[in-house]
Amino acid sequence: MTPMLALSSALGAAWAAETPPSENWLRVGVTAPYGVQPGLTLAASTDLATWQGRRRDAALSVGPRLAGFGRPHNHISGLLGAEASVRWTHSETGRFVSIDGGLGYLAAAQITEVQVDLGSGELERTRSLEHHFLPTLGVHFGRNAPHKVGWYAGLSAGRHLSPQTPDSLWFTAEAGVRFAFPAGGAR
Amino acid sequence: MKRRDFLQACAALSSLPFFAGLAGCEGDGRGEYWDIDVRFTGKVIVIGAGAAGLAAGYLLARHGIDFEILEAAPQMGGRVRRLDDFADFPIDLGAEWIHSDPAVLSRLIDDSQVNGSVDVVPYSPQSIEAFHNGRRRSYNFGGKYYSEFKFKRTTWYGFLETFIAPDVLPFLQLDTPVVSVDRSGDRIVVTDARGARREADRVVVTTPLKVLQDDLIDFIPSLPAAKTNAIHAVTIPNGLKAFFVFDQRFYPDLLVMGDPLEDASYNKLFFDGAFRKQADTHLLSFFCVGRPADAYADLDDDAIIDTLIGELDEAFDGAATRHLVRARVQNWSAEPYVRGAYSNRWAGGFERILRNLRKPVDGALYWAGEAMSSSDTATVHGAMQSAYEAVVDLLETPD
Repeated sequence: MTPMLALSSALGAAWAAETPPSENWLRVGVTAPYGVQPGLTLAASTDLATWQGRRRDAALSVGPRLAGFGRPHNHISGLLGAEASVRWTHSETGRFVSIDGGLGYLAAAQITEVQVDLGSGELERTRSLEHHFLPTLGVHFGRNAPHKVGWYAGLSAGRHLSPQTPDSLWFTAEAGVRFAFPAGGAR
Repeated sequence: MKRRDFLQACAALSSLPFFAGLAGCEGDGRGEYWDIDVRFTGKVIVIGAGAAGLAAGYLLARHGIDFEILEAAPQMGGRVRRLDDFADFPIDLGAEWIHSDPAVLSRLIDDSQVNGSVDVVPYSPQSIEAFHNGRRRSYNFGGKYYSEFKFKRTTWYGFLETFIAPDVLPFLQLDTPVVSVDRSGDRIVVTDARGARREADRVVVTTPLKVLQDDLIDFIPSLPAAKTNAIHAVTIPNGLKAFFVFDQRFYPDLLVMGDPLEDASYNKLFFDGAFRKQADTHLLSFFCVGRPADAYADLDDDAIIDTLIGELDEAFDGAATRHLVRARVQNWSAEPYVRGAYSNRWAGGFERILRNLRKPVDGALYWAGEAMSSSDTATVHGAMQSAYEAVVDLLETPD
């Protein structure tokens, strides 16, 4: 049994048997790793399993994630990854909180040298591509507003793992809007 | 509209998409300090040949003004100095970082007809450790919060030597410490330590502020109280650097000596002096300023080296002693015409002090230097820009 199925079973046992409809989600937001590297993030997810409780619904979802961010004169980075989330949503208010685990590949075009044209002041940058693996754990919260559009915010932390650079702590804040689309029936 | 204003207007327009292609409005290739309304025709003496003094001379030369630079030390540069033949790249003994967008180097030369380029490297250390309470710990993520620039194959001294000094050298007198500036007569009389007297119509004072605080120059009549108070309101702490070549690398990009969460800890650092320079030499540099530097400032160079090697041995289990090849200290507090690091704290309102520091005295004495920068104190480019601003003020003020 895979960990994901085990988690699904455990959650299923803890919650009532009646299942709310599964949904697909699209998340668009701004992100800022370390608080100083602004960028954009786009993520999609689909509910693999849902459970209905007395006041809260729970869902297990997975999906891909893209992000781009950078810092002037230093680097531009792109992140491609996948994340799995467990989300608890209040049945009446639509407020939710989720715990997310992710694994990503992060490519950073690091500026390693800048040639300054002393006449014009123009800068010619030399970049070197650095590769990182990025396991993360995060907490998000938000609200699914009516008409399937909601907002979210959250924090993630993890670790840069790279053969090229020293490992380092990673953390980011993120906020944006999320859109829900019916997944075509309950599972 | 003055050319400077015109260029500023062009720069503003060029930020708009439609006008971006029209931004090349510098027809004769000269920059913003070239087309000024010069209304002064007399002689100028510049005191000090640090970055500010050289910049002052550079601009005066461009405007064909009769000038002379008097430098107390046997070499130009002030707190900008170069060490050759110690590593496989030149080392900045003093000011090292470019605390700005590197395009500032072009603005300092201020001449679009200059052919040449310079390579700089982003200085954003990847491996960061702190040695605190007897333990080394990694704080690598700290590098995400810091990024400045350094020269890759040259130094601040090399930059000044190549692009600023050539126009100035014919008018530079080294080993000429000024001891008095007498403006009681029709012309200003500047006297050096040998008793030689020179006359000028205006003087630009660019000495380190500590030289003024220690009254190495006698101003006759005395400077106004506001000026004197401002001079003494700025703290110029002790400062030194040291350089160690090892036969192998055992240190991180940056080693903070102290609690990494305290700002004061960043006043005492060991850092990889060869970071991103693609060099073979394992150079570990030491930077210390402020209160931590007080412990070293009065020691002789050998004692400083022994002390620092002892500290490194404690942090790296004796590796410093095992791998040391050679060491060198640059104690700026012990330099007779520098006497410290750079402007660091201001007792009272910064803006008010700065305004009084920069304000000309009697239309005759003008002031420039890192402590007088309107935007970037304690930087080389700030010192040079303050000199340009002082000289523009001097030249635009009628005889």
